[in-house]
Amino acid sequence: MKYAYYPGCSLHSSAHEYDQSMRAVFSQLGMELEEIEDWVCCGSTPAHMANELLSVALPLMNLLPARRQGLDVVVPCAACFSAFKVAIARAESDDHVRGQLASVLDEEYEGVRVLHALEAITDGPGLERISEQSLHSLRGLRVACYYGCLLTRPPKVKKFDDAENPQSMDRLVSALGGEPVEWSHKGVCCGASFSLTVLDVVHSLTGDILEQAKKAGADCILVACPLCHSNLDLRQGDIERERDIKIGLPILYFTQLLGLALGCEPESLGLDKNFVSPGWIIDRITANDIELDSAAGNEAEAAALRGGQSDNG
Amino acid sequence: MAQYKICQRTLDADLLHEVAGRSGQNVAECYQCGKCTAGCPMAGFMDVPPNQVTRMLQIGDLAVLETKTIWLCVSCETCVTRCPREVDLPRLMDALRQITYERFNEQPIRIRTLVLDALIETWRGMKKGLKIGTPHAQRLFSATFLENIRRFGRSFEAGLIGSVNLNVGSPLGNMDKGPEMLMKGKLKILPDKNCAVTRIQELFAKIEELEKKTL
Repeated sequence: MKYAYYPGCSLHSSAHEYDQSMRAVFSQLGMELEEIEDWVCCGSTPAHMANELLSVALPLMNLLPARRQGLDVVVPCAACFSAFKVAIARAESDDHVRGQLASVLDEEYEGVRVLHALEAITDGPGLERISEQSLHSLRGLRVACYYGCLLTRPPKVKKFDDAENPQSMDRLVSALGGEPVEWSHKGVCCGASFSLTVLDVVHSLTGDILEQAKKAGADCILVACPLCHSNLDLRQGDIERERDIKIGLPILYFTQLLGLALGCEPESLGLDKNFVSPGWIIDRITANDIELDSAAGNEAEAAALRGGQSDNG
Repeated sequence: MAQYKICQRTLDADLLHEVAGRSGQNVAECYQCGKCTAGCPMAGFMDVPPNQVTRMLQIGDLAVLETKTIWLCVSCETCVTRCPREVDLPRLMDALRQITYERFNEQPIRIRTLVLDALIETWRGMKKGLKIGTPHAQRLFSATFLENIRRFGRSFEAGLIGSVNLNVGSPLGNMDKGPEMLMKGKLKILPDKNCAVTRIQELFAKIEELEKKTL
């Protein structure tokens, strides 16, 4: 299975570990990623605040090479994913927009399938196969799965998972033997790009998310967006000081946790880049060795460590 | 107390037609149930709650363009997900933002005006003991971001943070995170080189030509 890969600007800098873990995990699962040649910025939030046509043209400019190769596109960043899905929805529903696009891009619009990385991984190989391939269990790990805003909303555009109580990451964690916690803030906004301009708001929103995850008994928070990761990880120390509380929750990209379960080396997953150290989580997971149990003839134990696919949804 | 005269003239205001045209939304659909405001994560920071923005559009109150609200909307899409009338409020907010953005762009010394506004607002805010950013900061952020991608093809994060900081009068903002990010390879000092900068520049130029406006 081969995908055209659109990393986005963040994955080449502040979210470098997301890029590393994406490549490691896709490789482990036997899926090929081919980075789109000469991709340009998708425009993210600023484009749709400034100009409608620009916000639609920038993402579509990147889809054209993939379409020519007949490949589906995989996007790890939730903001880029949103830009692509919105652009496609506008182009497909509005003739006027399609006409404008044709004149500025010098090419007619044609449909391309765009998937968020979470969707590609959970729908592609399937949870059963991922579970069978895992070498380390997440047993004993309580995970707060944080979806943020743009993965699932608005549902008519994203057409992925449930908009009010998404479950795809939760199911992945269960399939790997971990325990996804029930909590209140799985889809509540972190403040996103206000991180640079309206920091107080980010501290307020992100602080609430961290506190609620802690309250729900989570050991760590799983994310699928560079900006969410940045707000929850980089800003955690400042928020702790501001609120005079202790949080200490490592923030992991879902690809990093999946990579650990599949037996990838922690450095290859960029786990040395977190501000809040996930060291103890790495130790705990790598200690749950499924192969050892299988080899010892302990099939029942190995199966238990692998976990099932929960029907929380 | 403000008095509004609702008549055909206010309802025919150019602004309302423009907003409707850009967003494809009919604000008359909204019956003010308040669900948008109830679920909005930013409502507590806004000067005017989200449902009132729709209301202001319904009665033709042009002051909606002056609100902090339209720049404090973070496009989390919660409101449109829950609206019983499926009014796309984030898209309305975008339309309002685009209109104010363009009005600024019409000024010949656009960036200097934005910077000056941002500095004045920051200073005023500091005098009042406020730390919350203003519409100017957010508008400046958008403008700087787009200038960056026009120059480099991709977002150059270090440059973006640096110029936004300088322009809002807090040159050392977020600098405490800098060294650790650099050490961990999470911050690039120089922009990405190998990408289709000319294609992006052509795109910007074509859009400016087509729409007769400056981006």
